[in-house]
Amino acid sequence: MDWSKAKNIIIAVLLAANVLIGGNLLAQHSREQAQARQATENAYAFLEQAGMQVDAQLPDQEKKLPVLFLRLHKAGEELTEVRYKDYPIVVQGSGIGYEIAGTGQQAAPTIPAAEALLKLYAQLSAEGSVKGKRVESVELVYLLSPDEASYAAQDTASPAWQIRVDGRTYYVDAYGE
Amino acid sequence: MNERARKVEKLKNAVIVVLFLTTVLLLNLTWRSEGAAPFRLSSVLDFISPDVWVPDASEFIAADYTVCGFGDATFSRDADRAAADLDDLLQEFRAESANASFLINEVTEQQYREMLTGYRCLKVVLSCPVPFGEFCDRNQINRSSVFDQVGTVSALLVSEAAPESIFVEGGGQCWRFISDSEQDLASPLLVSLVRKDPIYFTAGSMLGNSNMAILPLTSSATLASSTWESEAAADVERAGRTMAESIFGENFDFVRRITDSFGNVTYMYGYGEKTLTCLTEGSFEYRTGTVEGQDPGFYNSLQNAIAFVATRGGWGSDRHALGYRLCGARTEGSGRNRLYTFEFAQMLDGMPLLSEDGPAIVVKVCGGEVNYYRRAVVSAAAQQAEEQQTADAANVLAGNCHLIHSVLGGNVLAASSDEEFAFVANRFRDASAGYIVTEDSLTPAWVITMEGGTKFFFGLYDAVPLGFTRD
Repeated sequence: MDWSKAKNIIIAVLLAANVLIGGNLLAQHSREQAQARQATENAYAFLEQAGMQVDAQLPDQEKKLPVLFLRLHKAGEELTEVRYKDYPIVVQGSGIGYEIAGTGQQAAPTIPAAEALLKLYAQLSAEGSVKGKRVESVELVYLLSPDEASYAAQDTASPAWQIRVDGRTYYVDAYGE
Repeated sequence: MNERARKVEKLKNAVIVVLFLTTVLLLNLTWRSEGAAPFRLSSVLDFISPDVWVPDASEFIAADYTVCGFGDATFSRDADRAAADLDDLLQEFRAESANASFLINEVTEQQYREMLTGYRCLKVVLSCPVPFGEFCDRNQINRSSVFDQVGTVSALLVSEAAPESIFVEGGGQCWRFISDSEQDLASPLLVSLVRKDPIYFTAGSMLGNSNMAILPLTSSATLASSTWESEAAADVERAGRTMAESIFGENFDFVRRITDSFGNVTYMYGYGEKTLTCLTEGSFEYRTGTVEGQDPGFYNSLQNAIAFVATRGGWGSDRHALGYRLCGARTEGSGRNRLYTFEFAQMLDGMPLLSEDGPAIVVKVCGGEVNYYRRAVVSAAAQQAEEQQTADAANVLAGNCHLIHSVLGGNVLAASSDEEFAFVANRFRDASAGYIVTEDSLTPAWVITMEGGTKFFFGLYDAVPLGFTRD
């Protein structure tokens, strides 16, 4: 058998496969980015039409994040504000200190900021008119809402979109549930 | 081949390896971008590994014991022959139902007392009540519309008082199934009646009322106390994690995990739609929100419960000797909200292990879906002692009337000792030996079951009160 010729064929086939798969991946990635940009623009347009002003810049890149395990401290002990990578950690409730004890083993994709904004819009419009409301900021954070009556020593913070509207802060689950 | 050609071939080999690796890498990236999560066996919720043992529901609905009546108001009770007696009884019933039709009458208390105490009889008691219609279907007993009068079956019996009949007990009633063939159904079964120590009498004859539950006159046992530990004792945290992975599947890495200051861990999915609590003592409790759906029936619901447990803790590794017994089954609600509660007692050398918190495994099923699962399974080895006399069951009852009355009575006003005695004597339903799981040991105990299902535990040899179940 002419191994040299066979190797040439194998190289050609593998090259072609790499080009095909790589090209497909690139095309898919471009398509997804374009879709995300379009979705953000659509959200802007929809909210404007509904009378809601969006002053914040909506990030359009998808993120994959794990949950965070936080070790909690009682009120009275030194409070620390910690971030996980670039994301602030928000612990609702007064006088609760915390430190990061670990992360979940897997990361899951978060919903886009535009989708979170639309979910909030649905909630606010159910409560009353949204005309004239101003979206001041949209940011991805880690949120923990501990049960104040419990004696949790450790709890779990999940990614959430923090959206400020007319000075009030709202949170939308970033895993989309 | 010259040197240059050799170098070219080596370069080609390297290029092939690199291209192969990049192909694999790109395929992996493509696969990930399509959103496929890493494969997890536990995430394939309906798949049961061939290595996982799922017992059949019929293995749990078994005969508990046989009561032999000798026609002179004495009885004996035997667990060893119960399975064979049930098979024989069902065989008679099945054969007769295929060839003849039945007329059904409700038996009065007086008639019941007479046929059990005044005539030879054989009664097979099931481990828990079962819907009679499904019981018949499952055991290939032809049934007609008259069978619908009977709700549940907890025992089957035959008596010389009416040899052409089979009697079905359930829900506090007794029904006589009279075959129109007038064939003697009782005699072939009564031939095998054998006296076995200890002798039993009815509670009525020992306590002075009409209660037909039976009590031993005297008894002996070889049970001894032994130590125990939780099945998860080797690594409670890992056991909890394994249980959580099996319940939450691919969502496990995203559930909320709360650890309290005692080390108990609660896993919570969504806003409490599903929670799993893992206690440091090695027990687990799983709950979901309200579930409703089409009622698949008792047996199918039981099978769903069994399959659920099989992949979440399991039924033990010995496929030939089921280490659990279905000791209770209740139905609440109706239609799409019908809720089945199944209670499984762990068995040790043929004896049930019970505790004040109830049996080892409790599963609730609605619409074919499990919405509650509690597991507190222990590891222990049975210890045997020299045979010794136990405390008399009748004296245990009589000597603890005040305790039992104060727990069950609910009356604010104090009752006289006679009232307490009458209260207890009328509500007594069963006395059997078992083990109670206390904080530091498995203690041999009398398990006294009262009307309504509450169980009281007393030391088997010293009659010391050891606790009672709280519903």
